[in-house]
Amino acid sequence: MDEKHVYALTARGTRELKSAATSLTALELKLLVLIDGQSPLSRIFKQFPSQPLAELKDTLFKLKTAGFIADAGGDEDSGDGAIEATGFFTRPVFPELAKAGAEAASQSDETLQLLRKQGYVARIAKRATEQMKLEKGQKIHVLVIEDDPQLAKLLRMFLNMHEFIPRMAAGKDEIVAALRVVPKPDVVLLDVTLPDVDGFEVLSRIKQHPVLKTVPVIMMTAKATREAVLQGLTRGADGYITKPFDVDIISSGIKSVLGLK
Amino acid sequence: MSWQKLGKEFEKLRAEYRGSLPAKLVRLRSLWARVDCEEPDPDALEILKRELHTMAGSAGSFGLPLVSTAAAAAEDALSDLKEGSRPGAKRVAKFNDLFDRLGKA
Repeated sequence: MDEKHVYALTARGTRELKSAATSLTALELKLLVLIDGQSPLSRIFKQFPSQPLAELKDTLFKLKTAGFIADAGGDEDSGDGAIEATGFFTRPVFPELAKAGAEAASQSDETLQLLRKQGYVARIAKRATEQMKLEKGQKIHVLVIEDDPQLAKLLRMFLNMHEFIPRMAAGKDEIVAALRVVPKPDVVLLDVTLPDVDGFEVLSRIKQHPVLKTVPVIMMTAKATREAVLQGLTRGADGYITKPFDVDIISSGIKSVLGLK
Repeated sequence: MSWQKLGKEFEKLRAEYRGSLPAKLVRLRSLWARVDCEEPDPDALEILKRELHTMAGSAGSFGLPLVSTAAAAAEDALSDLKEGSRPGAKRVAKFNDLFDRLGKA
């Protein structure tokens, strides 16, 4: 596999990125997000400094064979216009939290416009490796971290109607308080932009917490930048939903990450 | 189930949201006035961006996708404006146009 080669997403690959659930592995998903029809493989591979090259090539081959990507029709380094992701994967997976969050929150206009032009709205939710079986009468506890009171109200209503048990938090203190409540939440819906704390920081802290680290987290954001999606996935987010969203996505996302039918 | 099927409760929330928009627009315009002036207020710019971002993220979920789109465009129009600097004539015209679109949406 020539590292100067350029791949583009196929219609199937694009659908996979937009879908509410995916059966792809984290590595497959990260590679798929980086495939933009402009960046040569050498540039993409640089984003995975600790990953064996053979594994990367093997994963790309699988994506190609499965029809998620195809030749972009050239092997030149396109240079100008390529999405800038430099530095994202060279940072540690859990870097200085506030700094990394701020970087993700300030993506360039160019990236955002390109994503919108290409129809990228991330609606990704990993499928749980094990299916969750609910006991009779057991309900799912959902922690919703959302600072917009109207949207929070809407989410609470929707979750109640679907027999989930919602628990709401809008800022740092409320998040701490909500996480202390027993039982621990089964899933967290997490807004990226919060008034007094960055959503990515909250994600990292959940994923580094000895008890909470196994709780699936679905990020919700109005910023659909490729880097922001990668930021979430790299930090261990189990799903990524762009706002505004339809409730179908919330419901299917929760079920997907929990392995519920 | 789509939002449309959520029935009366959703309609009530939607009406509440729609009803809150005029006040939100007044607030956005007042924040903009503090940005587009001789001594631009950096705090006002930050709040304006945040409130546009929130509106972009929520309005569509209340069945108002045009408001979401217009708010997102307005947020984009401010994204590279430096704190404390006065917006240029081109940006002012663009932003005012987006405000009008937001008002009509």
